[in-house]
Amino acid sequence: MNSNQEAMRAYFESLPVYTPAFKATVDSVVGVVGESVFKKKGQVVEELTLHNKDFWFLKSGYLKEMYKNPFEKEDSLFNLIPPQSIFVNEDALFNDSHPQHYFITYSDVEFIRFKFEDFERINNERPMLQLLYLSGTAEIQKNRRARLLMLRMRNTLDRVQWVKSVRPDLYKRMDRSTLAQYIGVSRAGLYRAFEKSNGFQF
Amino acid sequence: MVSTNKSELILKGLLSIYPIGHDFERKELYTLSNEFTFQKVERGFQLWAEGLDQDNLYFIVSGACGEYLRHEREESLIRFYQQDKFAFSEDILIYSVPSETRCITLTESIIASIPKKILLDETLHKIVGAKLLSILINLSMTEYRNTTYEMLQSSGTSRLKAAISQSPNLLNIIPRKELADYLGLSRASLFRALKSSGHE
Repeated sequence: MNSNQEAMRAYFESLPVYTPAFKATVDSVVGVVGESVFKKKGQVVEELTLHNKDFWFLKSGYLKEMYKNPFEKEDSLFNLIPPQSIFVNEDALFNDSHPQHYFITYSDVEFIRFKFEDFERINNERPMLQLLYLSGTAEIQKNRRARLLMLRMRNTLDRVQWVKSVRPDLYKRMDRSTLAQYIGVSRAGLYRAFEKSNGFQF
Repeated sequence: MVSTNKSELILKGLLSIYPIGHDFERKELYTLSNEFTFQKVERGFQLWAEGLDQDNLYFIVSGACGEYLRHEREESLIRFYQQDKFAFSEDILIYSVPSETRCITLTESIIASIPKKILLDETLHKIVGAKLLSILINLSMTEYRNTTYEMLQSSGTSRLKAAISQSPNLLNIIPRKELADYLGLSRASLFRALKSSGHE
């Protein structure tokens, strides 16, 4: 088994729903994953700017998921994606529509493709894949729900503290500008909050 | 069973989220729409509670509902469901785990509902059932994404505008105190945002 297959297997085994009964299904999936794609920091992931319904696994590095914010002049950060995560073009996959989000590498990255047509084929042969898919989306939902609670906190430093304690993996990697966008405050607001508390990010 | 007019309302709702691929799917959805039961309820009626509660798919015929999430000692309004929209606890209906949220009506409402057992196991052709499940996941993911857009706005005015663009009748269905909580703003900031955006 190559390192791409090992990395994807480790991801599936980390899902809450995973039991040894999923082994054959996971074998089928990891058996068809493609070669690694490498990108340097600051590059747009062109593979996902088009109508693409594939599943992508971020093996190493961090990705910024961006969207066009109608209330700001610049595009805004929607999410920061850590390594060992699946990322997809939600608009294409869920709604069969043109992507509204795009991905920019926040560091050098390596990712792997799992084609949608392979997903559909394996899903027909092994319906347990649907449970893995459900478990994956449930984890994303849980993260989104938790983040929404943070975004409703009125105090900026409370939001910072939330990221520090709930998502230390992201906090350690984020510069202040990215942190400000991740917690839904202006850069100036975040700087003021740090100054008031005489605190530093690190 | 429901009257023709009412079931047509549900069918219209289903067709608004379900892209028809084959003729038999339309027939299946028509059958399904007849299985919904209707209730006229007062403000504060609970659609589902935290834990393993009602595993129904709801359709808001009229009125509006709010979904609340408890955290520490507080409870926050995290999502709205409006007229002509489907509402459900994804925890219970999709993932079969205890719900972290509860949902109540925010106004006097008419609610149609169907249990998961009928929705996914008994009535439907398995292709239609699986497709519907997948559509409900997509709906839920998209709603969370839209709510996140609202909350990522750094100014109170932008948050309010983003929320209104998602739910145009927001200001008519929710008291200001809850709206401030929903937007993560103090009441004073909410009133400033309302004033600056010409809503007060």
